[in-house]
Amino acid sequence: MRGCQDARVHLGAYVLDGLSPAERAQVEAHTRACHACRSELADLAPLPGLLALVEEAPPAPPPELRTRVLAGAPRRRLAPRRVLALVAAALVAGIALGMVATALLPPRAPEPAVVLDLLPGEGFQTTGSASFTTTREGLRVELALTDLPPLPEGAIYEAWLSAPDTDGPISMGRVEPTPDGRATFTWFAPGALDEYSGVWVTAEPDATDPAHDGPTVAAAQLPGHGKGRDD
Amino acid sequence: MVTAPRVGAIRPGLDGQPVLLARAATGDERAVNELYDLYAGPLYGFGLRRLADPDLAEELVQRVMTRLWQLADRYDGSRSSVRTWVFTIARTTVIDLYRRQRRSDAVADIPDRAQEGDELDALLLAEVMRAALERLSPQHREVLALAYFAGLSQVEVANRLGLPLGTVKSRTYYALKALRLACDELGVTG
Repeated sequence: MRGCQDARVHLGAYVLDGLSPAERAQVEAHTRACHACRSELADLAPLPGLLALVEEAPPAPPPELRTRVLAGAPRRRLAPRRVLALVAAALVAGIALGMVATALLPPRAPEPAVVLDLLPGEGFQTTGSASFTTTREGLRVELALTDLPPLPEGAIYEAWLSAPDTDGPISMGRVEPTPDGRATFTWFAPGALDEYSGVWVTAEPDATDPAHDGPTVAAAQLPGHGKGRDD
Repeated sequence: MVTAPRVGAIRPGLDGQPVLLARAATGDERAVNELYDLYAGPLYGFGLRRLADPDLAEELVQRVMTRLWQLADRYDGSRSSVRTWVFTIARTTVIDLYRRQRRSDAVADIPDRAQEGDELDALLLAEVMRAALERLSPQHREVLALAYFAGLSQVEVANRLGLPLGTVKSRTYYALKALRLACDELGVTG
């Protein structure tokens, strides 16, 4: 085995135990001496264990089950008039709260967007905007952020919404900044803007913990106070 | 050796699930399909093991998914994750189906909660791994089928496919690289 390139292509067969004893020994000698190939090996090493889960799992359900189950799923029932009314209410509420609300009416898009400033949390210089558009898929939430500082290993940025009618914040998922500290993020939320009271981004110390416990990086208040439903 | 991966580490799975559930309940077709993708496989496997009957396992999937959209309003994110909630519904549904099957008051032989938690983790993770395998090219899937699932050596795979040994080795390597990438994208750490 001559050099890393040769050793690398043997790593797949190595973790699947498909090499001859001599090749095995060569891979082991190389990875003992080479940090880069050892790290590559560590990346691939969990895969056989993960494949074993598929092997041990019971069979998958028959494909036609999907059709039967989805036939019983709810149908969309938000009438267009109600969507417009909710957007209008959200706009009025946004302006009434004195927020930087801008209604954009691009000539070809039927739904107006509400754009709010995201203000930095304590100890952060992060700013940006949060834009809300009512679409057929739900409420489209778009965040644009600048000045997101690099995070320690294992930590992530996470976006959240709060609604007075639900318990606890709703996670919209991970926000991934570019190396220069910028990020854009899109999510579809159920319902209308006036059902939500806040949007914010936190720095979560542990990416594997679904709980909300990191500091707020940037935030904006939303119009909803739990009395937005008028039907 | 490497520590066992945990399903808790699957962020896309857990992250947006309360929102996914709410969207599904309003009739969002994409959310409905995503929920099905996440849970139908694990629920079916859970049903097969408990009820030992493919028809009843299918009925379990159908009943639990239907309950999900019906009860979405009542889901309380501060009390449990969606995953725990889904399997709480599944457990009671299994008992109903089991009783009907035996036509008696017998209760299914349910293992203790901790043991069952591990089993559900494995079922959910297996489902994500199936999805990861789906993302691979047919060539990559084929080489993994032979080199992992059939347990063939590289020489045997080369004979079977009629390819040079070097090609099989590099294909095996790139198949695992692609699988690693798919796992990373689906949030499987470890």
